[in-house]
Amino acid sequence: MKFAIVVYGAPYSHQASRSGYLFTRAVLDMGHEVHRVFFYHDGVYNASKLAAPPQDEADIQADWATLGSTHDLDLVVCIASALRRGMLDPTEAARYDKSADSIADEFSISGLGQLIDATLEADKVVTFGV
Amino acid sequence: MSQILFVMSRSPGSINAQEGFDALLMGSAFATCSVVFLGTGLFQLVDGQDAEPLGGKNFSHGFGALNDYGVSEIYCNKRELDRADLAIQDLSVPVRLLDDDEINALFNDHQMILSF
Amino acid sequence: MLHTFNKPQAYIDNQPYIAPDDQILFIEDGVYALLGDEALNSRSEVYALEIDVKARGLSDKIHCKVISHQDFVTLCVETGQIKNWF
Repeated sequence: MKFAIVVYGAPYSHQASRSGYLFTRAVLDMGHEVHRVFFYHDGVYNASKLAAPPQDEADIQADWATLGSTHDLDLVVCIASALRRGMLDPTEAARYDKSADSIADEFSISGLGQLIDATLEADKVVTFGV
Repeated sequence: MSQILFVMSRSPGSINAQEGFDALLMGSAFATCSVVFLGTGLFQLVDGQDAEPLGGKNFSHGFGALNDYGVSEIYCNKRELDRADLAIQDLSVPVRLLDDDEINALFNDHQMILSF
Repeated sequence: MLHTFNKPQAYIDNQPYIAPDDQILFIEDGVYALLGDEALNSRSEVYALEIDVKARGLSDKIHCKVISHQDFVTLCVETGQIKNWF
């Protein structure tokens, strides 16, 4: 089956991100397809490449990035949510003349159409909200 | 069967409510969408809101245009409306009132649910 | 259909929208909704995520079926509609 997973929670302020990550791993472990993981609302913060958590704590952003690259997942961050929260890729950082970009390479920034597409293409949609 | 049911459960002051509305508008461009306002989401429908002094956007003023986007099915729950001491006249758009069982049926009458 | 709840208040507020034969899965803080509610624990289609029950030290207090994330995936595959409450 094809799954779309939607994540609304920021990395540490809520368990939603961790739950979404564990669920996504389980989907893959069971041989199903992850059509897309869509990060919306505060979920966009999971795409940060600038986080530096203490070494004895989990690094959920790195976990998502590693999962994404290992399994060639489509990890999509909503552009509107991202911009208002200071999550920018190099293109957007240049467009808005910002001093840095913040989105890890394993994530792509795109529009809400990707959420709707995932909803229509997947067999199952599971949302991890706050 | 209608394609996507949007379930709005956040009060209007949350950016999640506004971003949920954005998703509904995008959804309506690609699919047949319905929307139901439950819990504190019901308060997104209250007429006469003015969030701008708080730095908010009066996105709920856009609900009147939902019909133009092809979203003609707007629902809320009668029990919740009554408990909030609100009436249909207090809301900014026409809605269909459903009882609890009809809300459950609504979930099953759509292909997918997106919750905000 | 399957309903998931990630906090007790989400269950309390939206319980009226659960049909008698619907499946219920408690995740994250939602597992706290099972404390002291024997009827809920005994209901046939009620589940809690084991990792969340154990994380909160509630293994002795919760008596419904506790399941893994893989079981969660199976529930999603086998059910009809899915509604995630939060």
